[in-house]
Amino acid sequence: MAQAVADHLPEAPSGGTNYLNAERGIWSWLTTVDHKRIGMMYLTSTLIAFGLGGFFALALRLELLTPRKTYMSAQMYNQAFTLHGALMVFLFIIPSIPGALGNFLLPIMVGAKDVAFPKLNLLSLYLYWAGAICFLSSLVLGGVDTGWTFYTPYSSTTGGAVVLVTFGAFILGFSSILTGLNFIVTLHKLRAPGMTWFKMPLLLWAIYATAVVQILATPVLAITLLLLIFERIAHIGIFDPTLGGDPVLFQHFFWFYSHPAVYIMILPGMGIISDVLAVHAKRTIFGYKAIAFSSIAIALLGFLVWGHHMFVAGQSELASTIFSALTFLIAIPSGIKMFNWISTLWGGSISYRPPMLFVFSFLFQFAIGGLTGLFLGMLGVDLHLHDTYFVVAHFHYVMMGGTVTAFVAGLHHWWPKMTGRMYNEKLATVSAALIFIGFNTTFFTQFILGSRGMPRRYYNYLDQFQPLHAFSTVGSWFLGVGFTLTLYYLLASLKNGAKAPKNPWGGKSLEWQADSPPITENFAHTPHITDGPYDFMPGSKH
Amino acid sequence: MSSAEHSHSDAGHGDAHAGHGHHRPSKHVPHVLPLKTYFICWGALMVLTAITVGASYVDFGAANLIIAVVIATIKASTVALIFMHLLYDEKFNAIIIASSIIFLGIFVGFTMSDTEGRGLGEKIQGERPQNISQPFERTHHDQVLVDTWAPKGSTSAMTGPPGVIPPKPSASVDPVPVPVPVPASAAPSDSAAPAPEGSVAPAPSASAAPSGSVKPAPSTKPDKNP
Amino acid sequence: MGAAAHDDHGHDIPATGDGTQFSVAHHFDTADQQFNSNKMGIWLFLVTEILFFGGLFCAFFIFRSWYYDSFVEAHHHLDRIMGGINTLVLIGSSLTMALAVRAAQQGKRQLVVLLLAITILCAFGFLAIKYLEYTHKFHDGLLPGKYFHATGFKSQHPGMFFAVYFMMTGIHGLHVVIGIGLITWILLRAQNGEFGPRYYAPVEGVGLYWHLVDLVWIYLFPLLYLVGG
Repeated sequence: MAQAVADHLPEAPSGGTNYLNAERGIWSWLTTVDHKRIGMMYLTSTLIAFGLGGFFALALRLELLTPRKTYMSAQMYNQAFTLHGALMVFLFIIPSIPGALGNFLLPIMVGAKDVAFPKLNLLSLYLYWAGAICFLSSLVLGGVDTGWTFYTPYSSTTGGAVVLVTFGAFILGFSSILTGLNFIVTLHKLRAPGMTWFKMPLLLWAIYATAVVQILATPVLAITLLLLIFERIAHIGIFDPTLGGDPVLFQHFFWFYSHPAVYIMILPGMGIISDVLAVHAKRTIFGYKAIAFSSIAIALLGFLVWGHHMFVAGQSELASTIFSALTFLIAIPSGIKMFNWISTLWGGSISYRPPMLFVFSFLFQFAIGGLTGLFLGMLGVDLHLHDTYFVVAHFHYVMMGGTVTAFVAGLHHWWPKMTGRMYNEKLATVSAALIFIGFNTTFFTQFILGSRGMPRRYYNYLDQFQPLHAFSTVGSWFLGVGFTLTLYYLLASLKNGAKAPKNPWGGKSLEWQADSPPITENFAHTPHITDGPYDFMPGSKH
Repeated sequence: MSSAEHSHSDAGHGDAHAGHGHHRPSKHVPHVLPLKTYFICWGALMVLTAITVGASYVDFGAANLIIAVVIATIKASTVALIFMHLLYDEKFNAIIIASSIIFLGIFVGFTMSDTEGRGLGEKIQGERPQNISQPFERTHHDQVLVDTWAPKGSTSAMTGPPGVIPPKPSASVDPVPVPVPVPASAAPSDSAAPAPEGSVAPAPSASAAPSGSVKPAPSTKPDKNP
Repeated sequence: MGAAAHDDHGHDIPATGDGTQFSVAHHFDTADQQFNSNKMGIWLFLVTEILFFGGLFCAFFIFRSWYYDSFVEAHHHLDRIMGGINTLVLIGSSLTMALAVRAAQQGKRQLVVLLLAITILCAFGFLAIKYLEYTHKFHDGLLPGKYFHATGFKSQHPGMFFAVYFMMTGIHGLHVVIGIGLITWILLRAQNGEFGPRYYAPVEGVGLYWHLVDLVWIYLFPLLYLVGG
């Protein structure tokens, strides 16, 4: 167990001064360089983005209830799915776990007082807000109907506020880069005495791998979006076939970022699962090093597979074959993680408290999402399934069934640490069940729809698809209710939740040695770490 | 830029917390290089610039690009190792910068495996027999442009980027022959199939585009090799 | 913690002009740790810069391979003398920047200021020459993509060359402008005597950035101006 930290307030874990009440007033929040406050502001912002994106999702599903116009116009439908995708990807999934949980937990978990560059951290949050304003103002400035991928030549010729949204994504890229840069330097330079690389919680390995991808891939998105902006306002022609350019080149540029970005989204989720699962199974994580290195392997292999988004885009057969073969390699590190998690559960004393329920949802849904990815990576199968609802179902299983579920699991796991309050666990159990049922109803149906030929992004569809679409729409209502319930009991806990003890789940990693909520400098004295983060059983070592 | 700014702002900050060290003296000792090193480096950079300009007046054919990039890389390494102190720095910083070069290579290399390989499938498709029971009789190419199909030498269908996106998905196993563009003007050339970057292969844009192509037919006046 | 808590710090130590009023930020243990962290941060930032330019290099290689003749023909319209002079100017500014870091390491305040001033002058010289080149191109209609209207070209896609040329040199020029701002900023701080042997991280950081700007040009010059037939 990590060295206990001397605490001058042993009896009142959240009664004294902590980072929340150390200073008061909105200005003290806006000018803070405390990683915990920045993390909380990230959490609030990303959850608002999630709410908005979710609202668009429900609106889209409602429109798809009937084969023809239900209540919105086709143009509105296009703008709604674009904003749903762009909000969820750029404003929620990418920044949520690193920005909110990562910022809050990373310095505490390594026993540091803050991240390496606290002001840069605040700048990253402001850039996030600036990007968010660009996205949201597009709503009233003409809308965007390109889809979140901004494919040329459509995006360089269509009307609307494409430049604004593109510029917003450009800014968000810098926010993401600064976060990643901060984390890499922090992990290299600010680990407390005794905190070796292999004593770090696995969440940190995952965040490290994520940060590597953020540093290496995001700049390419920046140049891509810049070229797109110039394409629109100056007709430079790099993506314009009439001038000799190549629209497929845009897809290369875009996916060189956006495929690794998929791992920016899922890797921190995997890290959360490793930590939450071990704590709630009360068992040393099985295969610590294998899980740690598989995170790095996923990050690096993730750079070699982007072409599998372009099998039917006119990419050369040579490139498609190479990308298809490399795509299957990703299954190896993902499988390593999956098997190690299951092995960890074996023989553990599993508690079925809310965080763990979300972990089980994750394991089930991520397995389906990951395996269907292999179908799509196959050249021949992809010709049939490309741009169908099968793809939609696949990435929702990975992104929502995987990352969002992991994020919610992590939120439930560390909520007492972050806010100092316990939430209503009964309601949380109900909500976990609702979300699980709603999610699988909504999206498993879409696998069937897709394999039967329902194309994605279509406003109207054939009558024969209506029963399945209706079933999917009903599932989305369960999801909506589930998440609303979650929001309710989490907010309610702030007002009247029980005070959280230091270590409500019996975790062994360093953050459970800090107060709930932690003091501003995290620990009263710099901790010295002697044991690992998963040493649950007497004498057990990894 | 922001990082640089930060190193300043952080340093200016004091410790607002209790219990932690205040005003610790800086123990950082700079590693000062002799002045001579800088000027030798600078001289080398000037000489290399002169060489690369001089080399541009001589035509080495395909080696032009390679020579220029090699000289540029020597110059860049000099700047990085000496001016940027990478030689004397923490080794991890060298790994960081090397990783950027590796991933840039991945980016350019994989992307060019597409852009230089387009049309490869059409060629293979074209070489397949029309009737599988008579494998040596007529290929798909024969049907499209029997007169001009040159089995050897003509690689234009493989290398021509702008006009080779076929109207149908190339992986289709459609029994109907896929029209394969073979330019009437295609002369036998020495260009290797997937041309290495910057090779002096004859302009690929000389190949004609199929009529259903996404791209416009690029050449009424084909680019000429100098 | 708020801004006020920080601002009253450091006043108890007089500014001696050799960087001794510097103190280690609260979350670092030693000055070495802070120095190395800052430097690693800068290197990571440079990685993002390299990949940012990398996208343009990728486009350059692809279109050069596709439209080789256009690229050869178009690149003869660039002035390799001006490009060469600009290369020498940037290499010279890199030298003065490196020497400025060295002078900061030795605590030679006046020398730092002088060398940084020369670096800024070089940067302005680079931009001036670039401006002459640009106006010449604009005048001749050698413009990217749709706006290309120069006559007398035998090849088909010279506009693609100028699209790549203007994007690459334009973004590089933007980096030069940002560099001027950064160097001015550390020049003013050097004037204030904020740097010395114990603390010169900002000089070093801006220096690394400026060398990267030079590095990019070291590749741009031969690829755009020289390589051809």
